[in-house]
Amino acid sequence: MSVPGITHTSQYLTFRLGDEVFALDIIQVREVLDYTTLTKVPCTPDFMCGVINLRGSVVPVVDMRLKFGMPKTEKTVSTCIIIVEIKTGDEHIIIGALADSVQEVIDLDPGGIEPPPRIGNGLKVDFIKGMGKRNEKFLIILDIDRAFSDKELSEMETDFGIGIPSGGAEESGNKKAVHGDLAGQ
Amino acid sequence: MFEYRFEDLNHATVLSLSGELTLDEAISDLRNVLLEKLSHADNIVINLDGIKAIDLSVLQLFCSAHRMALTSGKSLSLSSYPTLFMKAVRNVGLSSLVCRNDIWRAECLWPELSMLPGEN
Amino acid sequence: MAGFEGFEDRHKEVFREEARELLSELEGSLLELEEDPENTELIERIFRAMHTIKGSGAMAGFDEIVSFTHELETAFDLVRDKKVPVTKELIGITLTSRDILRDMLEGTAGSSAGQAAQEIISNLKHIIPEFPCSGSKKVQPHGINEKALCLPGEEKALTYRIRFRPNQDIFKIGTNPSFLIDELRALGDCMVIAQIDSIPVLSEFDFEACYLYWDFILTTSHGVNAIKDVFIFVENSSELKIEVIDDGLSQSPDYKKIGEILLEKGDVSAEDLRKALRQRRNIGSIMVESGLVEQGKLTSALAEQQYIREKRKQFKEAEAAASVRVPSRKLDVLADLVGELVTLQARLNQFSLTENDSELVAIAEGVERLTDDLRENIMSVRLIPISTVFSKLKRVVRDLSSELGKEIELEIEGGETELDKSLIEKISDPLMHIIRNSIDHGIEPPAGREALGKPRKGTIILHVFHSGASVLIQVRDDGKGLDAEAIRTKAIDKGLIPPGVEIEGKDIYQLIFASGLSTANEVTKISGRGVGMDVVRKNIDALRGTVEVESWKGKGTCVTIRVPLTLAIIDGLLVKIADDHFVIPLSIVEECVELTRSETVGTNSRHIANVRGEIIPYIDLRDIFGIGGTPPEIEQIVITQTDGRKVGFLVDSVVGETQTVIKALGSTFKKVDWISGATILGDGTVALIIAASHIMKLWEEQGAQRTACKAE
Repeated sequence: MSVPGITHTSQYLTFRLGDEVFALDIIQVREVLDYTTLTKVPCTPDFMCGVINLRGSVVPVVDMRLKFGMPKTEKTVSTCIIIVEIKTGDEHIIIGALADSVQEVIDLDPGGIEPPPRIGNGLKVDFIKGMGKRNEKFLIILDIDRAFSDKELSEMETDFGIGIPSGGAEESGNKKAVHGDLAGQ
Repeated sequence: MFEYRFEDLNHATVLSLSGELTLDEAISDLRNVLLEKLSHADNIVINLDGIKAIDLSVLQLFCSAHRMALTSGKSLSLSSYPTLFMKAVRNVGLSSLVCRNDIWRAECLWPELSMLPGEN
Repeated sequence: MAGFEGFEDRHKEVFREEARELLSELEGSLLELEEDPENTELIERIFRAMHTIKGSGAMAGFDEIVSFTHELETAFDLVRDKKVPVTKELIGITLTSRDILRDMLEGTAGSSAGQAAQEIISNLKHIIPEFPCSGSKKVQPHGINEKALCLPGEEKALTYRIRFRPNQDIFKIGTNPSFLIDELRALGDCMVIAQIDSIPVLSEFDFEACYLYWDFILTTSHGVNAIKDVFIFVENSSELKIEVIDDGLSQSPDYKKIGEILLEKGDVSAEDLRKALRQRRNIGSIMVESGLVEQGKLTSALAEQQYIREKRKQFKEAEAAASVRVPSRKLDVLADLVGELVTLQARLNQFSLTENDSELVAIAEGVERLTDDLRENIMSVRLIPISTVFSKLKRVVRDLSSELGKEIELEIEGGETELDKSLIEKISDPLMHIIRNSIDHGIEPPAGREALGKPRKGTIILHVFHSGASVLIQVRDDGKGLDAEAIRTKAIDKGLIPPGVEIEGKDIYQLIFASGLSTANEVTKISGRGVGMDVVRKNIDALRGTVEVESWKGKGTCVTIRVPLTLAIIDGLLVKIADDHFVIPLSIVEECVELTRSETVGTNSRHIANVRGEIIPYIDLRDIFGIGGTPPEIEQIVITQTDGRKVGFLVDSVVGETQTVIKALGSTFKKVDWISGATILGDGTVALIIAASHIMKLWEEQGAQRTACKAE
């Protein structure tokens, strides 16, 4: 069974979030940085870890574990920031994504990728492009454009505006649901 | 006051002019001399080395003589371009540019623009 | 001179760009002239703009524009000579002409532009009885009315083409043309070309006749009368023609084609020129070969062409030294680089202080001074007065009010306020919308106003001024004001406010910026489709600005746009809360005062500080930013002033002043309006810049019970 939109053999960067191995199409990966000092932007969702200085540009960094409902990333020696380029609408934005560790770059052909399982809630499936296999282990191929889409990122922010706490509560509720589902896989 | 002198060489008749070649002093005589010479000499060379002045009227006379020579298959040229002459030519805006055309290109009486002295 | 296609296209584009600017200048001047019809300087400016458009247009091959501008120029020539008065009608026609020219330029109107131009011309002829009958419709693309360009006192060097053909008997009256030539040369840069085609062969040569005649090209600032004076004693018996061929205003380095020059001078007939052109070869030699023109005439034309090109090149070079046209993108790059330099310099400063090396400190200080200068200079290059968009606005007011039969005056205050160029470009559309709205919905018709005891003429005041780190642009009208009830009803209709929810005062008016809300009962051409104001809101949002509306029933409406002075670099005060650094723009900082724990207790956490007897509220940033931890025993209040109101910001400590290169936080944070940007500190980490006014606003909205964002 194949996944629409994946027609060619591509290279993927694999990385770890907790016990799960994820993969990103290498085309979207700009570079991988060591962990560096983050500046938290006040009153933004928890998964927005803050901003870093990437050679003079200010780049937001997202904690993917929080975003996907896992526990917060704990900084270790292998923690790194994957700089990805996201297409949202007509815009290309650069975002850093925290990962527990980066593993390797692999080739996956379309035949080896299956559609995401239709279980859990819609949000989760939206972020997953497909499931790949490597050494008998599943890889979750992320649809990073969707996970970090304009809507995903900015909606949360409105909810977290100063003095509008109700949205924040709603959001954390959402998060828990995601947490349960993804962790369950 | 102007003077002229002829010298018949093998291939050309040299007309040496000296003194003031101006409307008042020379024009009428000069015209007659040139007209007369052009009727029997085939190749006239004008030498201006001895001139003390030259004015517009004489310059146009040369032009006219030159024209006549060419139309009758003869030749009329200047042996040299003294500074005085060059200045006068430049001043009135003559140069080979204005007369050059296909027929007379090679033989224009006037110097090339680039040979003319500058403004100062 | 058949250029490459690409070159011609480029040439055209260059002209378009130039012409666009000229047209907007023209518009501005016309509107000013309407106010001040006697201003000769304005008339002159208008004439010049037309003239330059005509001249450059001819070279770029915009024939339609050339012939049309020629007619306009003729009309304004009469105005200059005070033969025709400046009337509203004339201004109106000319403004419409400007629009037609623009259409012709952009090629948007197709053939209808030509028709419109014809109408204009006949209108002009109608209102200007003196308008010369252009029966032959001979358009001289460059032939400039010599008289017109030689106003007294004008010292600009013009280039003239002079054809002087003395009477053959000139010698007999005792004049030697050589002397005339000498005199002419004394006036300026002069090129002399004698024409010899009248000299007969010797046998027919009358030694007392002058057969030579001359073409001169003379660049002089002495004016045409000085030239005429040279020929004063011979002018009755001679043929003398003086024309201005270059007024030094043309931007184009190129000049007319040979055929054009010959035609202008009357040395060839149009018919012959066409014949020669058909052969598609070097036109000059064709014409000489076929005897259509004498070599001398061609030479003269060639010389003229070369002369003017040379002059223009010189002029260009001289002018290039005075001003350069640079794409603003390049300035952006430059500003970015200076930004990087400032960051680096901050690092150097920090390093030099820790090294304790006096030599290094001295170097660092030198670099700092230079960087400062550099920064200021770069920034000032990017600043332009906001008045550059005003002519567009004046035009809108003028056109719309006459279309709607209203009488409206636009008053402008603070037009000299300088703003970043990119900001000005982005602010112009929203401003236009707001003004359109005022005209369409705000100001009542004259009769209606009189009935209400208001002056017939409505007023729209545009006021621009700096306030702290922002620029405020206010559009105030004395119209009927907004109808709060109508807005409320409409908003409920559209589901913008749930029924039963009470919205009061200012908030009601704020709804006009919501999408799809227009209170106009009938949709007019100008506004009323409910798209205007939400576009305004969007545009201003994109600039991280705010827009507010106040209204007084029957008295008028005031829309205030506030945009940050988003210059790439500002001076900031670096402060610290726990481990986080923040920057407060220095322009709003008044002073810093200490706050000890005991004082906090004393005021019963009402967040009010007593500064030398003055009561100043302050905002606890640690609290509202949700930064945990315990504050130090002694905290600092940074007192700021915006819009005449003082508010303090409570921080742990003040680090010091810093030059701040503003980096955009990017679209990810576009909703985060309490932070206006970020900057990179000397150690490479990022500090956030506080948007004080936004924080104040949010804080006030919460009243005393401000709610902090959730830390967890």
